[in-house]
Amino acid sequence: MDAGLIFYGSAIFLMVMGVFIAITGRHLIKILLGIDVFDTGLNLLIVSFGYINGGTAPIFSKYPNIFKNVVDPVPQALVLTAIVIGVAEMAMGLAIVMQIKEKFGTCNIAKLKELKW
Amino acid sequence: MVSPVLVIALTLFLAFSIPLLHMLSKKLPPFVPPLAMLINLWILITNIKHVGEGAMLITTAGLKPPIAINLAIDKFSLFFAILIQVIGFLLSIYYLSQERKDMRFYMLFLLNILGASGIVMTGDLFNSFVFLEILEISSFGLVASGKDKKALEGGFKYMMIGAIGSSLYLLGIIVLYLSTGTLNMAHIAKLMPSIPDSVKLFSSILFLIGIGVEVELFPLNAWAPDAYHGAMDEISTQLSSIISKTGIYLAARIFLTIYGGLYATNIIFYLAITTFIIAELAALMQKNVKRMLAYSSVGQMGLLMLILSVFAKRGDVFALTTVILLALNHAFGKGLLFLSLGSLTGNTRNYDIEDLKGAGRANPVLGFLFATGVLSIIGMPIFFGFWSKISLLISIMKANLMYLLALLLLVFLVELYYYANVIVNLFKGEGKKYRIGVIPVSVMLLFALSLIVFGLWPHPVFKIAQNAAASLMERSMYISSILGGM
Repeated sequence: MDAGLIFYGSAIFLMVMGVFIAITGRHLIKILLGIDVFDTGLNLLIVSFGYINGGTAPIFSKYPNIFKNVVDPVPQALVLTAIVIGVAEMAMGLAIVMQIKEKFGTCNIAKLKELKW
Repeated sequence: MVSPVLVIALTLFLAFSIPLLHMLSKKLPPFVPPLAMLINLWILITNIKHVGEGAMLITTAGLKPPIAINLAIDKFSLFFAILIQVIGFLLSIYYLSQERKDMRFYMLFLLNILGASGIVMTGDLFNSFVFLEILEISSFGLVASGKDKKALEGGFKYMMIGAIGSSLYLLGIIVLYLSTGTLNMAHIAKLMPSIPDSVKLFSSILFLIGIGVEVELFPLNAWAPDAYHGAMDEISTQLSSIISKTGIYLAARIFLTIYGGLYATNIIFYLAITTFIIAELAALMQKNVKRMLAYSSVGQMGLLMLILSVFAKRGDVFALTTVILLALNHAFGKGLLFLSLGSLTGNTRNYDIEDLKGAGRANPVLGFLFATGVLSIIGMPIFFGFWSKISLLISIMKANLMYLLALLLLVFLVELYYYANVIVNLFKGEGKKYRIGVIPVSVMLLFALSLIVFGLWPHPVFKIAQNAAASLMERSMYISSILGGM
């Protein structure tokens, strides 16, 4: 099987699974994990867009034929940034969950009912 | 000339110097945000005369676009950048009156402003994603910073939707990158005709989801009433006056400049009209005044997206001017409403309409301020809202959309009814008197004064808004001023 197809398939599987967990999860941490899995899937998808089977790292060199079959470096750079942003998001989310556990005494999203009209 | 890059760099520097200053003296951190806002304002104002036709290009890393990340500032960006700094400055003055033990709040505030000003100034798509995430993550923190149950719940709900929305925004960027090989907004705009229609549609829907969270578009706005309600009153002001306005900017920039007209116009139109009607009806049924204001905010954002979707294809500069005027009116008016509502309840965070009875009569200054906000939002003469509503009606009549006109007038009646209900309640019966400091009152007075001054002398504002709208429509000028003769 094509290596690219495996990457795409598993990335999309991760994304769908992440959204599914985030929507159906009742526990706050589980929801955060779902979002994180979704982000990971997205990152994998982006990296695999730039992937070439058998390609080399995109490094400038004086030998021109090395430069022929390189992978696209831009998605990798973007993913590095996206990973860092994802970490910040998780940190903020976990901090909020910690406070919620302290104030509500529960992590069940169905029990967060302060804001109802 | 001072480079506008410093707006971003200095805000970032000052935000992270707060912990150091905190070590020097515990009194210093509150004074950092006003200072930063003033410097930013000064930098932007000195740059006004340098922004001519098209966009001003500020390169970074010594490389010309499309290779390096660049800032691209046209009149439309500059207008929103200055609006953000002005509101930010007023809010940061307001924060001086409050005792806060936590210096991290000021860092979050500055990062929030940084994200918003970055989004309106950047000329690079991926850069706009990074700033969008800075804006969103800091606003989750700001919403939750009330640290009571309501604030935490609102913050978490906002985070759930915001995180997924901005990830899809990133996917939209990548899809465009794959089909054009560039991330520069002007370059993508130039290559747009060569992209297949299916790719355009797919990526614009992804963008719509990402931006829809910010502009509170149905069905992505489930977080909005809860976050507005749960957040402290100043943060609600920030949500409605800065964050959602940044969303409108981003929508206009991406759909008009990059796509050259809305893609999936019908989808946006129906979503916006649903948002508008449902939110205003929900506001009508509210017993909780703050929630009512939140729904009204969502409705207003729906209205802005509605006008954008109707008029974007026609290239109508006047209608886009209307969008800007409405956004300006909403930024000042709704900001004033949230701030004065907080003081009218004596910061008890109990916003029930029954408990507000007579509060306006007992605190005449606050009652007057609240009334000013309401009158401007519903569009009474003398106030700025009048001009924005009038130009809205004119632009719809010029386009001969009678069904839309009828619908808008009907919904404005609904709006009039629920706002009148609050005002009547405020001035009926005996209420409690609250002590209120000089700083909050003067900040609210500035909000109210600007509404009245803009209302009495609308010409300069109208002219500025028109220039901003015109520069948004000058798409080829934007492209050529960034890419040169490419």
